[in-house]
Amino acid sequence: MTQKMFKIMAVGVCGLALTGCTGSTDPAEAGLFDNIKNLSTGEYDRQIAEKDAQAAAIIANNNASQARINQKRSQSAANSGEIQALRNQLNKVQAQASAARAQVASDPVKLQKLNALDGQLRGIRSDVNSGAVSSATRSELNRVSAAISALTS
Amino acid sequence: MHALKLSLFAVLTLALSASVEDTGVASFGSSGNKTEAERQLEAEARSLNKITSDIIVKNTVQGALAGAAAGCGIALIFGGGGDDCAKGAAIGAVAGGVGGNAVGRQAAQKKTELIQRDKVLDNLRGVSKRLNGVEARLNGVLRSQDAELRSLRRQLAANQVSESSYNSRVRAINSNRKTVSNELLKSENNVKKTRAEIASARKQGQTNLSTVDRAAASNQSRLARTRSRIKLIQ
Repeated sequence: MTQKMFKIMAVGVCGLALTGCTGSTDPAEAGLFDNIKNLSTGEYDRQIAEKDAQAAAIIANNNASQARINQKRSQSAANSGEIQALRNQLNKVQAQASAARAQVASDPVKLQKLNALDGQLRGIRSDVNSGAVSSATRSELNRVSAAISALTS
Repeated sequence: MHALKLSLFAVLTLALSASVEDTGVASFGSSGNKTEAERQLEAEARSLNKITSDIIVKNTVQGALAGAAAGCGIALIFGGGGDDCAKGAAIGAVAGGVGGNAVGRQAAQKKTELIQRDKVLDNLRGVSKRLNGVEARLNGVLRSQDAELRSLRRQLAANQVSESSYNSRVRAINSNRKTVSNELLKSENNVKKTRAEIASARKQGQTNLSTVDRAAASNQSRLARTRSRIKLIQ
């Protein structure tokens, strides 16, 4: 009965009404008679199904985020240019440490300090190799270099 | 007419109460030693909180409108002209006999549901999209902070930095992590409230909300998952 009434009204209402029937299928703009027409023709149901696909897309995007996080976890914290620059600096400081070793060989205290700095350089190299570097890494290399210089001055 | 007046009063009252904004500003932490990337991450997390707050406000207003659906109120509010309801009844009587008013009301209600549903979905999509950016920045900031901390600990052990400057930076990093975590928690709670409103609307007879609720649930669990990745430094 209700369905029949929709049909009758959909045909009759727009013809009879002089106002309120713009033919709009946008629910935000549709007037009362457009609503009746859109409901009876199934337009609103079609729009609901379309929006259901959008809801599914939201869920898919959220699920995909976990995969993106896992992928990015394996990526480095810095770009390749930064890492290469740090690697070059690290090699220079490492060479500085090797040169200093001969100079402090006869001084056990200085040798112990140099060994500690060498250990620090190994830690930095491990970070650089895994890409886990930050602005602090460069400062650290500068400080290690300054400490080696102080041992040989 | 009496029902219409009551409906309009309810709409206005609830719309006014919904305009009270949540400031959403974290009450702790200093930005003293934070990096630019950390400050940007905080800003993005706050903006996410704002978007999720908007879902609630809009729902509240629309919930009020749904509440005003009794009688011809809804047709008057959402239909074309002020006398659409009467026209619906009159034309219904001409075209199909009795029940024209009921058909008009049903159609107007469907329209309201569609508009409400679209707005909530748009917001949920906005949250999901914004989370992509927040997560990407969070990844970068966390990795950088972890790398920095490893470096600072080595320097502290070698007496190359003072304990106070190390502690200061740790405090700044923890402040940043707390701020971001709190903002994400607020967003999560906002989505939770939205889902409660969706459940309430469904109880009141509104249909076609199950997919919207699933999308909201997905956003909620993603927010929780993102937040769980933030650990404070002991």
